[in-house]
Amino acid sequence: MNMEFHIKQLRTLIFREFWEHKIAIFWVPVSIGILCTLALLWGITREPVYDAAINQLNIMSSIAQPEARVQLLGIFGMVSMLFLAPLYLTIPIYLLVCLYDDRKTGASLFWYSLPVSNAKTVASKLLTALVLMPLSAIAILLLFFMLLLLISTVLILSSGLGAGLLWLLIQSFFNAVLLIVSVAILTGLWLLPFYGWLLLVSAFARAVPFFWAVGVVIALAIAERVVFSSSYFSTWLDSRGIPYQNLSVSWTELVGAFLNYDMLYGLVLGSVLIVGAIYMRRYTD
Amino acid sequence: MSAIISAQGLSKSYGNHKALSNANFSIQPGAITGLIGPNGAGKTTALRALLGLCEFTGDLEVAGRDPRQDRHLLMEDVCFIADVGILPKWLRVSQAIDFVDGVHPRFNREKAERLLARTEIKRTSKIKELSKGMVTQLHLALVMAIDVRLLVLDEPTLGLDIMYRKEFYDRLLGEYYDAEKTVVISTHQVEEIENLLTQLLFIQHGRIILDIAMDELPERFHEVILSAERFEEARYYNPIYERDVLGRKVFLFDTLDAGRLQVLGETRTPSVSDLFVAMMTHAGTTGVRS
Repeated sequence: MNMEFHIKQLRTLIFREFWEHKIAIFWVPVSIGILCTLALLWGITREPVYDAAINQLNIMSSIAQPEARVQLLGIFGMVSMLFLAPLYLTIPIYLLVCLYDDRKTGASLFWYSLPVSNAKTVASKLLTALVLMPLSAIAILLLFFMLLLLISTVLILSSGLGAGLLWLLIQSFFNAVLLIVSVAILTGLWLLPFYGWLLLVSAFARAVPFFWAVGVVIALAIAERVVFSSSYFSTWLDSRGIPYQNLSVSWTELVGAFLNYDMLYGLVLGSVLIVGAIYMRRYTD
Repeated sequence: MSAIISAQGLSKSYGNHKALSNANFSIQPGAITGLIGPNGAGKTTALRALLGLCEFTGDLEVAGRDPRQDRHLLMEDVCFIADVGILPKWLRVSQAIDFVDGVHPRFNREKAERLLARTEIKRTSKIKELSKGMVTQLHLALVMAIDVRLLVLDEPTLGLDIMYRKEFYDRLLGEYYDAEKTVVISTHQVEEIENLLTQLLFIQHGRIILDIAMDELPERFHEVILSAERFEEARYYNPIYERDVLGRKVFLFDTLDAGRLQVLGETRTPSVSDLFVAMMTHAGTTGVRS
């Protein structure tokens, strides 16, 4: 069969994930966006907040440009955390239930009666977690950024702070968006061992996948401590957490945090676990 | 013509329970085969094995493939409807069409739309909002729009009221079936499908206890209605089953030599449901040709 058909199948499978998990993929970021918009509109119409915003803009227009840029990136970064941090709750839950539900709900025979390979099914789930969910959150975030930019522009122009700051703001905005997209994708790849593990559990657990996912990890850590009196496994787990807490990173920090051998090992381990998930999905008994 | 399904020594156990025990059968292209047995006889397990949905031992070939390998390629040639309600509850009707259209290379969207247009089903409804009968109508419309060689139906009308049941089989025969296609239907409600079948497979305790073409049935099985004074005479010819009818008895014989029975009186061919009851009660006691 030709490439076109494979792509059509994969696209359809990802659409299916979107239909089924619309709340996690779409409505969670939309709700955050609505809450943030309401908070912003409420705040900016209150005098203390308005004054603080004008004050902040005044400071930024008075300090040196590189410093102001760092500050602006910091603000964009903080706002983006509101949208991106919940992903690292919704994505693991999604991964843990996606294959499990395919088997355990009454619909399993429907999914299994169609000519879709296990590899393609698992790939669609992985792409949903790695690409679709972050991109959906970022798309809503961008809409919110637009509102933020609009309000900032009005404030800058109305308080006569000058075009220099406005130009800096727009530059920082594009810089921030590129950073955020890169961070979101790289974080997904960095977390690939966890994602692979959750998919594997989702493919094999006969009941309560959550306890399998967490229980086996805890049991391994305890077993290592008891048997070898060492704690390499838990140390390693710690080291694979989200590798930065603050999104106001620079490109050099980003490269340092992600493009290293740890990333490579994680990708290899993650891939092995994903292949395991594809293999386990064969069995529906 | 080579068989579209051939099973040799098909076995499957769940723990100590033998769901399939050395089952042998083959199905030719163009057949409408009824896989008939009581609940728990192994029907569903046999169908799951055909579809590559469970592990098993023995040799099995379906549409030229081993179902244990490349199940997704097999599914291009095989369609499957299990008992009602296997469509995902959150799916919308329009999404169901889009989905099958997107993943199945042999799906004919226009045909599915045409079949659905004749029902009351709304495109915007979610599956969970549809009645059981409507879900089956939808599933049948989707499956009938797929051009496959083999259609497997597992108790497809279970829990449906009589109107939907009749419509289901009418549509299946009227608009889906042709000599190129093979249909395997499992059910324990024999009377519903006996007129459509071309081949019978009776299954009991995981074994195939009867495998016969419908047109061979009149040659092999015969029944005679007799009144009380001739019961002993009839038993001399080894009936496999006898049942009471208004003070008389119907004796059912499994023999290729019907001429012998002429002395008892007028013989006729038993209905599939009578044969089913006879075989199910009889098979425990004698060996059966398979």
